[in-house]
Amino acid sequence: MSDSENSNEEISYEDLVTKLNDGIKSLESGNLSLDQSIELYKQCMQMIAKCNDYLDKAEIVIKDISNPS
Amino acid sequence: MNHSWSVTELTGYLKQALENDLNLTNLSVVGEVSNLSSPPSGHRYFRLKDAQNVVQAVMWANRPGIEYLREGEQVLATGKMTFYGRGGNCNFQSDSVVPLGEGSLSVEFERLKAKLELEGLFDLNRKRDLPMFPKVVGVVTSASGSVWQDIQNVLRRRYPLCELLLSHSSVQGVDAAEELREAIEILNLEGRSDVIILARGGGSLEDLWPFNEEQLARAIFASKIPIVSGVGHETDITIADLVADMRAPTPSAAAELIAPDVDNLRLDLNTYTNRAIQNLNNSLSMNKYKLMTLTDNVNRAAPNLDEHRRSIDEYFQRFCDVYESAIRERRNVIGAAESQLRILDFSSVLARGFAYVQNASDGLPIRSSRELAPRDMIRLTFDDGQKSAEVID
Repeated sequence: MSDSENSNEEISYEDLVTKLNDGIKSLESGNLSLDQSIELYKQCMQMIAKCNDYLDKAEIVIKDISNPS
Repeated sequence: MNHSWSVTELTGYLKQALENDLNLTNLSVVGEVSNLSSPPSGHRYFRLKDAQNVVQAVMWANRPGIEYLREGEQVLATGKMTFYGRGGNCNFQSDSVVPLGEGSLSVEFERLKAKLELEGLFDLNRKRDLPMFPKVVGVVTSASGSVWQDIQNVLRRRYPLCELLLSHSSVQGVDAAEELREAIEILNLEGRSDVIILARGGGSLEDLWPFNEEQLARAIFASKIPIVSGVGHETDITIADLVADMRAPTPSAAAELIAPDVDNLRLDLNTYTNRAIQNLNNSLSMNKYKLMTLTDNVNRAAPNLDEHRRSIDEYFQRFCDVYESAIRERRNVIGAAESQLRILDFSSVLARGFAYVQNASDGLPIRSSRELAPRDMIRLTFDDGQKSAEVID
């Protein structure tokens, strides 16, 4: 679905880190099969790459919304 | 009391009792200065009095606010109680003095502080947590001041992931409190900010005064967005600081406080990477171990093929033995039959000159002469052929 793709693209750094943290905790729980571990590991590495990408490309945006009067 | 004290014992005891009392070691007293003595040493000896009572007081030279000690002046003196044994009296030793003349800022500060505290504006349990990763940061300060530049620099360096929204306000002067209130309201109306920094650089009590005004305090309290104050220097505490969700000692510190540092975020990501790799390796090792155990189990449980091969050989040998014995048995039977047949074969008897006699009419063998009567027809079989004959006698 294009909606979910969009929402994936727009996921915030905070949400990404939260998901990443949850993923790592699941990996550490030891309750996963090998297939699940490998799949989750891939997802975590993708999220880490995306987080690094966020930090590399981040550029502060500055706006003035002061009352003109 | 049975025990008699010396005067020194008593004064020593009083001194210790007084100077160890926590209520009397850091206190503020409001009173009017009287009987002021100003010796050349620079120290001041005086009394603080109100309508009913008096307390002896002393202030050592060069202490802050000593110049406000004037006969008849209403002051707020901060210090501790001591006991002066040689004079036999208690003294209030003042470390700082603030004048409390009519309309004085300090009086107003104390009045408003007490009022708002009573209303619960400073309650710690209403202070909100700050977001860990703010996406939008509102800033209420002067667009032309260095504070705004400092905040931009700090966040550009430490946390460029955010969007900064400036809501300008003058930060000193008679209109400042009103403008600060409006600037906070504008950010609340805009609604995207996750946190607001309310900031101003250092200045005199008068310069910072807008941050002590009631309308700003109420705007901070009413803000739906958490507010971090960074007003003046570390020693300046304003009403705005007391109402804010969090107080930073300076504007730059406020900018540092509201967001993490990207360098630390990168370190966190490295830690996450190491944890992920470590855990995948653990999982792989664990599964390898399981596989090895399974392999061992399978090997142990597998059938012993050599044994089976041996059994098959044995079966085959037994089959061969049985088969050969059966053949042998049949051969013997056939041999015996052949011998019997040979014994029963009469052709060799005929060859020796005998003849085989049959009744010509029914072909039955004639075994006795009594079976024949004259004129019976018989059939004679010789070694080389047959002849018919009639019985004569």
